This record gives sequence, structure tokens and C-alpha cells, in this order.
Amino acid sequence: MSRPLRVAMVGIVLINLGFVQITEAAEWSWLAALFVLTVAAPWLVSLTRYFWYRSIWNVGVQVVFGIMVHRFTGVGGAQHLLNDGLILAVLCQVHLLNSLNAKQKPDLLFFNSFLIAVVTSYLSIDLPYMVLFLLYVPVLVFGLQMLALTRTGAEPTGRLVRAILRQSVVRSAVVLVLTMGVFLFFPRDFQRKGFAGDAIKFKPPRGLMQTDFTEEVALDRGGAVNRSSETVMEVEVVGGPSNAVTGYWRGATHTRYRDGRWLPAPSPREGMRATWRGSRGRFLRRDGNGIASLRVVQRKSRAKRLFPPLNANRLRMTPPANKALIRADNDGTMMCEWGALPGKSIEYVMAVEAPFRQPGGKRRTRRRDSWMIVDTRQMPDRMRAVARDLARRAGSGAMQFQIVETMRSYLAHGYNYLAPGEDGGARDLAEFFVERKGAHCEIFATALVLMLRSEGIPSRLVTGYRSGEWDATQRVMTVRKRDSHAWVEVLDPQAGWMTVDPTPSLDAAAAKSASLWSEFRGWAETVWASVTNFNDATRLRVLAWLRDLPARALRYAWIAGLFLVWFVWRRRRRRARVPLAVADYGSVLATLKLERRAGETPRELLARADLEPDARSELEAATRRHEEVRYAVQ
Amino acid sequence: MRPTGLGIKAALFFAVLLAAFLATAYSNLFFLLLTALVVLGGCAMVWSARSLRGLVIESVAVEATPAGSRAAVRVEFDAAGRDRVGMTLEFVIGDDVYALPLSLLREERVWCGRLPELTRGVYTATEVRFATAAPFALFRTVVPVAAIPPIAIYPRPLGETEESGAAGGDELGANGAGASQPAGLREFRPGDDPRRIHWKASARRGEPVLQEWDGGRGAGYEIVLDRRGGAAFEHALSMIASAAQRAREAKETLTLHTQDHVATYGAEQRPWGELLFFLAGVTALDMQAPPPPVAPPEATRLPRAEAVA
Repeated sequence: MSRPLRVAMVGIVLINLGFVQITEAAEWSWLAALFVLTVAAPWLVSLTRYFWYRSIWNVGVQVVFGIMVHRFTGVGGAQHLLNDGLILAVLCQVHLLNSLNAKQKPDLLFFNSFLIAVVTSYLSIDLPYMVLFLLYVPVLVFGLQMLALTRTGAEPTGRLVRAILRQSVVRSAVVLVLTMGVFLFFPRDFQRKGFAGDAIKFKPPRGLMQTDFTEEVALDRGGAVNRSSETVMEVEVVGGPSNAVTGYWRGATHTRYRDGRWLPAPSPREGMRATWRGSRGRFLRRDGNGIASLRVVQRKSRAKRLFPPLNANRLRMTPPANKALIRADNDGTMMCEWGALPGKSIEYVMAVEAPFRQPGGKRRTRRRDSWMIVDTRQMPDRMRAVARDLARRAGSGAMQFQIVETMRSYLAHGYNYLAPGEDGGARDLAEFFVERKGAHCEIFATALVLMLRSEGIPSRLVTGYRSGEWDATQRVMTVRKRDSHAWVEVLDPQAGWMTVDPTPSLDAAAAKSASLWSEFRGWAETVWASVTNFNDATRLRVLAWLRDLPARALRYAWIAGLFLVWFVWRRRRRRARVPLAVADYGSVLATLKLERRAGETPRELLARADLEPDARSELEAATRRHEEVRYAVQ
Repeated sequence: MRPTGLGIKAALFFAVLLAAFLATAYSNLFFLLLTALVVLGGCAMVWSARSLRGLVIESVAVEATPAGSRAAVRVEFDAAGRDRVGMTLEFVIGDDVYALPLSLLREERVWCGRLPELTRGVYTATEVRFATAAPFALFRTVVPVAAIPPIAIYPRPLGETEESGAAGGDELGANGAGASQPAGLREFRPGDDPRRIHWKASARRGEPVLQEWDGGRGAGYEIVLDRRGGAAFEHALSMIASAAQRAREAKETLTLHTQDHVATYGAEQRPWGELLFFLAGVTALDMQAPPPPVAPPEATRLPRAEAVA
């Protein structure tokens, strides 16, 4: 097996390991060992001529296989199936890489690599997958080309490998462009259910938490988390200003807290300036059409909720979603029973008001409802002391919203954000406040609610989604599972319930967004998201964009003009370098429809050409002039 | 064009993936990967079909080669401005197919390779073709090349090794090809064959001295080949090949007398290639066959009596 082919195979296996690694479903300790064995493969394979090495290697592979089977059947149960399956798949690749001799065919390695790409696509669809996919295609193309060369028995010289590399780059680009073309335009049913139904369904392992909206909030949840890029909603602004779209999409409100959990409890009606009324798919909260109209496509999921923002005032379900059973709650949230509806998503149109209302009015909202009373045992002592101190620091005459902002700012700037499941994160309020460990949004929001309530300010925790993924060209906001979020709503004496977000990650993200890298990353994520969430609506938008392309391209016609001028100038300059007689000779050949063979001199061409006398004399003259210039023949 | 073994496996693999795709609920990424696979296969088909298009093979020539050596193949081509890697030039000779790997790069015009070692004989390639599984080893395209003349593998000259390619013995000369006799010594002149230096006399005189011969050498080689030679027949052919090589180097002629064939080769005579072709294809006759035609008495007769004995 040639060295370049082996290098290509090493690249393929490394990318396979990358695919498995980004799923976060396989243990890093196993993958690290496989990474090392893959990188060392070019050296290890030279040892395969020794019997002792082959014996050790094969026994080692069987031992690992035995451990996997034992974990699956005896220790971990079914939750190890996926983990072990992925590790076994890459182990197979590493085994092939380290065992194949010159006479064996590496076909299986190529097929297996593709299979790993397919399976892992169900587990991780984030940006790293796109990066690996874009790497995988050229490496695969290069590998296949080297395979074709090796099978002829040719020795790959440096020139050949360079030629193949050049071809691989071009061919990979062609394959990728054509793939995207077919992907965009091939008609298909995006809602298709497989003929095997739910019998075959790839799901993350049970031990792996998904970041997504949940009805229940428990602060002590831990373990590995899959930050899924799966789309929950796509919100398109169909009328009105784009800035009317809020980032906060409310799913559920939580009012009663005990022992690290938020318990379901009736939410107070007060503070909502109006409650939803209506039925049969049409709901109205206040009269008027609002300032903007949004079309929302929401994927059906386990969360039986709609996510109207605080400023939504009108909602109309689009058929057949108008047949869904929808119940509006006092807190402005909406439950939705959509089990019987066809398709995988529902669609509705929503009108929204201006998102921000000015807080103010009385100094405090005086409420002592049962849900507002804080059991002091639920709060660490330090937390109560800090809350008291912050309220005092705001000043005796401070408005309520000033106290709220003081506390929000204290949390947002004084504590670190850690994503759910990250190592070292706080598991409860004590760890958060006393040990000052980083925490995720639920802990930040809980802390703020309890601090506010300890000062008598009505507040509640809200869960839903917060997204900043805004496509200004299409006027579309995409909300993903990983955008699930928890924040706080405070009952303002003048403005009613207002959104307050103490989680610092959002501030940090905003600061980061100024960097070029994060902007590029954001753009790439948007592009990739449009692939992973491609549907009929996206295709229509793409087609519309393509239809408008010529009109837009006209704006840049001057660039094409400049390029054309440069091209013509360069061509003329190149022609000027060719002696006139030589160019003339070429013209004569073209006129007479003659073509020189490789290595053929003009004189030889003249000898073999079968021409009429006039044409022959013309060619003779041109040949003579050509020879005079080229070979200084007098 | 037809699919290779890898291509058939890839088609089966695709069928399995397609079944899995249809069995499960629609997934954009699965569709994307399947699309990539289809595009890769489609491109492989198109590129494979185009891989030999535009390639102009101007000539394919195989040199006459001594037995046990690898015959040199020379291909003159015009790659039409494209690199064409991963091809094979295949010679179908009888039931065997000899495939030579070759890659034709755009800036080149000539490719040289070698066939595997062959035994003495005249080989007629029933088909010569260019084949390629490029670019992805999924499909194989074949383009036939115009027929080439038969390939002559003539007897290996005595004492020649493949590495040196030069004659190492002088059996015919030493044993009197043309019954030549030493005629005297003279000083070495520019242009003389250094192999004819008489080293002992040169050492005595202190300057290079040449030994001159009378008879056979000057008049060329005269050989009678009795093809009823039996076991020594191949050895005799090797001696003739050796003599032909030496005569060619010395710009002399070689006259061969054998059953049904009398011809003189060399300058202004028949070309040496014809002799090599004859030597490649000549076969032994049974002992009842007529003797070779009458030849001058100084002619060397092969096989020699001691070799036959």
C-alpha cells in the first residue's frame, strides 16, 4: 500500500474520530487512545511483519471488544449501546488502518467511514459537524483517487501525488457544489415518516441531557449535556419593523420554589395587562393589530406549548394547526395539544406590540401572596444578606426597577456563567453564592427571584427560549433547542410584568459578537443551520433569493466590468508577446482547419497536409515566415 | 465502461443506506450524505468516461528484446492539456493480459515502460488497450489502441546479462566465425575497437597495439544453422544472436544459411531487425527434415558437434 494512500486513510480515520467525539456520546478516554493509535499507524504498520506484534494487537482488539460487550450487557445496560457502538465503529477503523497489508483491500475502511458520518449526523448536527464534513469530502476524494492509482500497481511519485492533489481539490469542490445543488432543488417530502415508523429512531443515550425547554426546573441536574442545534421555531417578520421581535419566547412561568425545584402553581393574573381570549385557533389579548406581524413555524416536540413573547397581542393558527387544542393561561403562556395534527410542525401568525414598556410608578409593588413568601431556609444566609445590602445600596428612595437592576447587575457581573453540565458548575444556591462557582441560567434566575422576593418585590421564573440568531436578509429568527433559557419576570407597578435577565453569558456573548471570528462563526452557524433545518419554506426563500439574484447582481456589474477590462488587457498583452508571424501561422492553421500533432514541426505538417494549390501556397508562406522568426532561417 | 468490484460494493452499500433512509423519518443530514454519495458516484461515472477522452495516442512501440529481459514499451501521446493518472496499458497476448501502470502528465509527450520478462518467441497482441479506473476506482473505462506489430523476443546473446546489456563472450570469434586467422599487429588508431587491443603485445611495446585478422571477420559472419539440432538448438540461436550483435557493432554483415532461409543482414543488406524477428520465431525441425543448404566451407556450422553430443 502506497504511503500517500495510507496518509489519506489516516486522515479519514482521524475525521471519523472527530465525528464520534463531537457527539459527546463516547468517552474521551477511549477516543484519546484511538487518536494516538491512528496517528501512530504509519509506524505501527511496519511492525505487522512480526508475529508477536500481530498477536498482541489482535488480542488487544478482542479484549477491548470483550470490555464493550461486558459493559453493554452487564454493567451499563442499554445506555452503553450507543457509546460502545460508536467506539467499536472507530476501533474497527483503527484496526483496519493498523492491520492492512499491501495485498489487502482497504474498501471496508472507506465504507465504514461513511457509515460513521451517517450515524453521527443523528447525534450532532452543530457547526463542528459541518467543519468535519467539509474536511471529510476532500480527504475521501483524495483517498479514492490514491486507491485507484495504487490498484494499477503504479508507484506514486511526488509529481503524481501533486497532480492527484490538484485534481482532488477541484473534484471535491465540484462534488460539494453539486451536492448542495441537489440538496436545494431535489423535491422531497420533509415530513416523511419512515416505513419502519418509530421502530428505528436514533436518540441520544439516556444519560445524555438535551438542552431544551422543560416544564420542570430542578437546579441539581447534572451530567453530560448535548447542546442540540435542532430547530424549535422559525420566526419570520412578514410586516412591520424587525426590532419589534423580542429575543425572549415564553414557555412556562414558575412561581413556587422549594428545595431546589420550581413547582407548578397557578400564576397570578395581575400584572398581565390583558389575558388571552378566543378559541378555534384565533386568540386576542388586546385590540389593535400591533406594530409587527410575525409568521411562526414551530416544530412539534414533547413540549406541548406555544411560545408567545410578552408583547404578543394577537395569534391566529394557520390550517390545519387551527384544529389543535389550545389553552391560554393567565400568565400569557399557551398550552397546545397537537398530537393528532398531521406533519411535523405547526404554523401561526402573531401580532406583537412594541416590546419595551417603561417601568416606574410607585416605589414598590406591595404583594404578599402565598407564592411570594420566601421560606428563609431555602436561601443561603449570605444570599439574604447580599440582597438586603443591595437594596440598601440602591438608596432609600430608589424606585423598584432600580433595586431590580442593582441586583441583576450584581449577579450578571459578579458571577461566572457555565453551560449546563460543564465541570465545576454549581449544583445549588449554596455552591453558587458561598463557593462562588459558575452556574447556568436556571440558577442565576432562581437566585434573582429569591433575592427580589426577600425584599418584597414580586417576581417569577420563566422558562422558554432566547435566541439572537437573526438573519437580517431574510428577516428570519431561528430558535434552537440549545437556546432554551430561564429568566426572571418582575411585576412592575407601572408596566406590569417585565423581563429581567441576570445571566451573564448573554452580556458576554454580546461583547464577543464584536470580534471578527465570532461574526464569522455566527455566519457559518446560520448557513449550516439552514442546511440542517432545510424545509419547504427555506427552499421557497432560496428560490426567491435566486430569482432576485440578477437584479442584485446588477449592482455589482461594475466589478464584473473591471474584471473584463483586466482580462482583455491581459490577453492582448500576452498576444503581443507572441511574434506576429507565429500568431499569423496559428491563424492560417485555424483557417485551413489544420492541427499540429504533438511534436510535429510546421514543415512536417506542411508535408502531410492535403491541400488545394492556393491553400498550400498560403501555408507554405506562413510556414516560411514562422521558421524565419522561430528558427532564424534565412 | 463497467463498474469495478469496488463500484459494485459501493452500489450495494448505497442500496443499504437508501433502505435505512427510507425506513427512518426524513433527516436533512442523512439526505445530504446520501446526496453526496450519489453525486460522488455520478461524478465517478462521468469523469471515468471522460478520463480517456481527448487523449491522442500517436504510437505504441515495443522493442525487440532478448529473452529474459523486459521488453521496452514506448508510447508517444498528446494528453490534451490534462493530467491522466492511474491508467494501465494492457497487452492481451493469448490468454494472458499484461498490464503496465502509466500516468500521462500534461507536459509530457513520451512514456516508457517495460513488459514483464518473456521467453523467446514472436508474440502477437490480439488487443492493446488503455484502461483506467480513475478517478475513484468505481468504474473502469477501456479504449483500444491501434494494433501493434508482433513483439519479437529473440534468444538472449551468449554471456549477456540484463544489467549490462553487453556481450560478455566471444565464442563465435574465438572459434573462428568465418575461419579467420591472425594476420599481424599494428598500432592503435583512433576509432579502433578497444576490445581488439592485444594486451600482451601492448605491454611489451609500451603502447596500444591492435591484432589484425584475415578471412572471416573482414568478410562478415557466415553461419549455417541446422535446425535439426535438437537439445542444442536454443544454444545455437543464442550464439547467432551474439554474432549478430557483434557484427552490428563492427558494422559487418552476417549471412545465415538454414533450412528454407538464406539471407544476409547488415549495412545495405536486410535490416538486423528481420534477423532478430527470425531468431525470435524460428522453430526446431525434426531429424527427418532436409539438411541446411550448401554454404562456403569457412562458414561456422551450428549447432556444433560437441554441443550436440
